[in-house]
Order: sequence, then C-alpha cells, then structure tokens
Amino acid sequence: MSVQVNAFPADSIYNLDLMLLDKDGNEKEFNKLSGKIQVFAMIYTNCKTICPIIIANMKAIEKLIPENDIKNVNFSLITLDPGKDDVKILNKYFKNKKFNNKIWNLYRTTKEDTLKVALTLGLKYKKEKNNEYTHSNLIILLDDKGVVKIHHQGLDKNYSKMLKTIAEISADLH
Amino acid sequence: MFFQKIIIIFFIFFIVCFDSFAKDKTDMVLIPSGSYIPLFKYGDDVLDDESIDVDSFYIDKYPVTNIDFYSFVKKKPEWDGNNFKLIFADRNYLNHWKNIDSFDEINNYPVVNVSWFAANEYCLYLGSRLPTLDEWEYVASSGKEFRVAKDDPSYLHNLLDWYINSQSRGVISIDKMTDNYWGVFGLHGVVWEWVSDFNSVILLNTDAEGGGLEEVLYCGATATNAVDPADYAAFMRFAFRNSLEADYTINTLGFRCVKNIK
Repeated sequence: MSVQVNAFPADSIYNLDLMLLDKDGNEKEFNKLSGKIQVFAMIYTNCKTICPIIIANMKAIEKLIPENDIKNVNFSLITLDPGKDDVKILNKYFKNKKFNNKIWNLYRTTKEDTLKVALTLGLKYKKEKNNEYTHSNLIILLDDKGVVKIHHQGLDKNYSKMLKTIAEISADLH
Repeated sequence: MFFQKIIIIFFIFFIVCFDSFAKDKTDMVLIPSGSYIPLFKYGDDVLDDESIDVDSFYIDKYPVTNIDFYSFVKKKPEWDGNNFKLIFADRNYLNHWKNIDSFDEINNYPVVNVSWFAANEYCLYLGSRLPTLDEWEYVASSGKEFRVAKDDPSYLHNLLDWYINSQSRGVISIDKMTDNYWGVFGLHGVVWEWVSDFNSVILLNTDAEGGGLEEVLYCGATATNAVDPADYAAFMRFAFRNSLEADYTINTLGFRCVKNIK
C-alpha cells in the first residue's frame, strides 16, 4: 500500500493528479492551486459572447471582495480548447483582459485532463462542427482545500452568496 | 545450424500463434470507419451535413464484467470499495459487491455501480479508453441483420420495447446477451454504458453560441427537429446522459472499452 501523500479531503478536486501550464509557460501541479480560495471558470479565448460576460462578472466579484480578504483569493481560468489556446495565445488574452497578475492566472492542460477537470466540477461542454464550444456558463467557488462551495450561474449578477461564502472561508484562513 | 534455424522459425511461429491467441482473448471487435446520423441536427444550416464520421477502432465484444473489474481493483487498491475517493465516485460505488453470498454468481454479469472516473481508469489501465459518444452511438446504430438499424423495423420495435418497459430491463450474464451486426454483445437491453464525453450532452444552462445545441435538443424533444423521429431510443440515451455526473454510480450503468487501431 502506498502512503497517502496529499492530505486533501476526499471530495477535493485536488485529488486529481494533473499538470497545468500557465500563461507564462510555467508548469504547475493542479493541487498547487490549494491554499487559496479559487474563483474558477473554464472558458476559451475564441469565445465571443458568453465567456467575456463570465469574465466581466468574475472581475465584478474581484472588486467587491474587501481588501482584507482578497489576499486569500485567486481567480483561475482553464481553457476548454487546449488544441488552439497555446501559451502565446493565453498570454495575449491575459494582457488584453488586463487581469491583475498577482491574483489571476490562465491555464491550459491536456485534452484528457481538461475533460477530467470539467467532469469533476460538473461542467458540460461540446466542441461543435464550427470549432466553437457549447458549454456550461458557471463560475465555481472552491475553498482553500479544493472543495466546491458554489456553482454560480455565470450570467447571474447577484453575488451576495458568493461574497458571503468567500468572507466565511477567508475568516478561517486569517 | 539447420536445426538452429528450425528452432528459431518454430519459436517465431510460436510467438505469432501466442500473439494471435492473446488478441483473441482481449475479445475486441474491429469496427470499420463509417458514419452515422445522430438523433439531433446541429443547427439549421447543416442539412447536408447531418452524418457524423467515425474512424475505425476496436471495441469490447462484451461489457466489462464484475470479474474483470475485480482483477483491476486487486491491482489498483485505490479503486477498492473501501479506498476510493468521494470526488471520483459516490457512496453507492460497487455497492452490489456487498452482501452477496458468492462472487461466482455475478462473475459474468456486467459490472455496474461504477463511476465515470472508475470506468475511465479501468480502460486506461488496459491500454484502452472509454468510447466517445459518437463511437458508441455508431456501433449501436446497427441492428442485428442490418448495418443501419432503422432499415429493420422489427429490431427497432423490440429496442423501443426495452427502453419503454423498464420491467424487462435487468442485468444479465454476458453469455445470455445477444449481439448486433458487428458481433458486439449487449449494447441494448441490458445496462446503460458510460461514454467518455457524456457531458457533451447539454440541455440546460449553456452557452449556446456554439451552434445552439440547447435549442436543438429542446426542439428535438418535440421530434420536429429530430433527424430521425423513429429513433426514440437514442433520444432516451441522450436524456439519460444529460442527467449524469461523472461521480454517479447506478445499478443499471456499466461500460466497455475501445482501443485505437495500431
């Protein structure tokens, strides 16, 4: 029997063993996203209508988090389209969107692991014949251990539950 | 020298024989490339583009059985009913293995109560993978005698009977299963089966910019937009898949694996 190395809860998504590549080309183990509250979504850069709204709403959440709590929070995006979204494209997208480099990051992983992350979070997506993706529009709140706390409808502008939960988890982290 | 050659030739012959025997044992069927017409159109602008092309692949002749899965669990104890992580399977995982008098009784029954993650790991462990939705539907679109099941109304009728009358449904031993045109057993009438991209069936809460699948499926339900309204069984499969999450384990949901050609 192997010794249990990671100590994540049984329902933590960080039990997934996979590598991410960030928008600067740095490799990062998926479970290294732990330790911070994650406001998380899966998008793709060529997405013209829904993804920009999801991102705008994530930015709105960012602005509403008090100074004291924001240091416990990261905003992470993984592309649904690793075939097209290489590091260069992710980097350009990141700059265009003017994300705060300190708390935002944009990642890609293999096609197989993209599916695993999506399935673990209950996200649906389908590549259409025109190379666009039909996909769930969800913003997901993960606690510092990788347990899903909230599935927030990506277009819903009522963030009160999201903000309240972030404040609660953050209070435990102080 | 001569004898050495004979021995070498014999040895090679033996390897070839053994190899073909090994392939036989994997019990996979070669499915040639082709196309099938899925239940739903993918938008109004693709009338001449309704069929989906599928490359050739090998598929398990039978669903994965309890004894198959038991061997896997023995090698991979992290997938044991006591060790598995809740993120990868719900609490019902392998529940039917508890409280049975003898494992022998269910050896050759398709394994059920397995999550997508468990099924996926099983296939990867054997150097294979879960079929894609299109691969599965392509093989399942054949009847008994006909490559395309809809050319065989009686076959479709029986199929519908099974899908509608849940009482006739039940997990049965693989040697009681019937095969289809390709010699693939138990695709219909026994258990539902996982496909790798089951989460590509999207009914609610979606970004529909990518072709309006949501609308198509909704409309599909009225059969006005369905490519083949007779294929109600396929609609039920789509609806079932839409209701799944990857950690779900269900006592009528099993799986089989496929392998790439090469």
